[in-house]
Amino acid sequence: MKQNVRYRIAAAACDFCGVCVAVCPAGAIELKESSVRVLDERCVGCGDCAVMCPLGLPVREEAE
Amino acid sequence: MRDRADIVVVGGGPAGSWAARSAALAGASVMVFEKDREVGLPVRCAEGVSSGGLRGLVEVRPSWIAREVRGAKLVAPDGTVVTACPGDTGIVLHRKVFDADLAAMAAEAGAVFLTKACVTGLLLRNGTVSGVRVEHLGRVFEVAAKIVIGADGVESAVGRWAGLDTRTPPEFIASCCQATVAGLDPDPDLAEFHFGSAVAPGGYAWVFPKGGRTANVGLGVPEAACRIKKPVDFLKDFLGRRCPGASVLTWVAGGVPLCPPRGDIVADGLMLVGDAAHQASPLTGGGILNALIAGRLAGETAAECVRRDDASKKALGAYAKAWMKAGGDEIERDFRIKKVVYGLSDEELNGVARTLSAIPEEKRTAQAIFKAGLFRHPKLAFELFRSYF
Repeated sequence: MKQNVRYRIAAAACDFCGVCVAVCPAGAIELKESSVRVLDERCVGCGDCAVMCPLGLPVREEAE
Repeated sequence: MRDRADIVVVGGGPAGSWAARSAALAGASVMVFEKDREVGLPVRCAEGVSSGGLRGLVEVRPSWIAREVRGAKLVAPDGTVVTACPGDTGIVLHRKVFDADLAAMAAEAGAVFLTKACVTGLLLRNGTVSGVRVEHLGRVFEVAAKIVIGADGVESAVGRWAGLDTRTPPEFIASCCQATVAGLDPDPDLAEFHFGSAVAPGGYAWVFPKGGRTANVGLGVPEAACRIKKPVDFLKDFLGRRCPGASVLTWVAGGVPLCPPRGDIVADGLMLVGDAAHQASPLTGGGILNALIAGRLAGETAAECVRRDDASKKALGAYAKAWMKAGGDEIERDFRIKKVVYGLSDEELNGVARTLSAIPEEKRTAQAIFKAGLFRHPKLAFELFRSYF
């Protein structure tokens, strides 16, 4: 992952449609029936998930 | 639960169920794992399909049909309305019922289904896919298989786990939102398509009547539009304009792969089918018919390969070849037309609509529409010429 950048997806608002998984170049998003998770160790920080999410849920976080 | 099968299918949508049914009918033992609690739900689909196309593939049951429409109403950015009835009718499905019946038909043929069963990984032996790992109600178990068929949708992980590059990059996917709405008055006989930068830049919005005063109201847009506004906000605006005051009964998000034809859909011990194999039309986003066509080809090839005890990439490649022969040309054509159609400016779309309005309605066939587009847009003409002649 790019240093200091990570993405979070608020599962409570998520529809689990899988668009983020489809566009992720790194296979960094784990989706189940009603859970979704960005795997920080795989995330490359490109932000494609945030752009393409129909609900605009993935949020970029800058760490210290 | 058995711990082995000839063929394991991941995903119980139309592609998965039809592959499972075809393989079971051909004598293979088949298991299907669906991650959701119920086959057919949630419905991530506008539910429109060509009547003739569907009837050519399966005996259509009345319970699948929410509404049969005789044509389409195209709405240009300036509000110009063009009605087109291309001869064939369209069916707005009850996908929940449709999917459940396809699954039941597969089960009838001998396939064993398990829902709320999430496949979390593949078993590999010497680089060949040899089964799946399943999470079901808090328990994890493995099922060995000679062939795994990934029918796990646009978000397919199965292909990636087997080393195929199944990513759908942002330029090749439409980000979609849909509401099933009650309390509006759609034309019960027409499917509406709305175009333009205010509604769905680079894509389109739809209103598909589902009977009575209900309809699926949704839209899909490409990456450039997503960078302007979230698809869900485009939809809220469209709902406010098209059906103010109507009740939203269901919200759903989703993505449709709009990709060039893909032949790279098999690996050793593995096949992909449906949205996972990017088999939807890149022009309309419609994927049901191709899912059934490819599902059947995949199931039959898989059963044959089990019989011959050869699940190599080379052997399974017969399916990829058959699919490209059955659907490759159409996907290629739709992909080229898509690039032109969704690149038209509001002014150009208005121009096409005005040209079409001048054609008497009874003569507004698909061909006449294309000719009108041809007349106004040399670039479109060139692509269509390459596509059709």
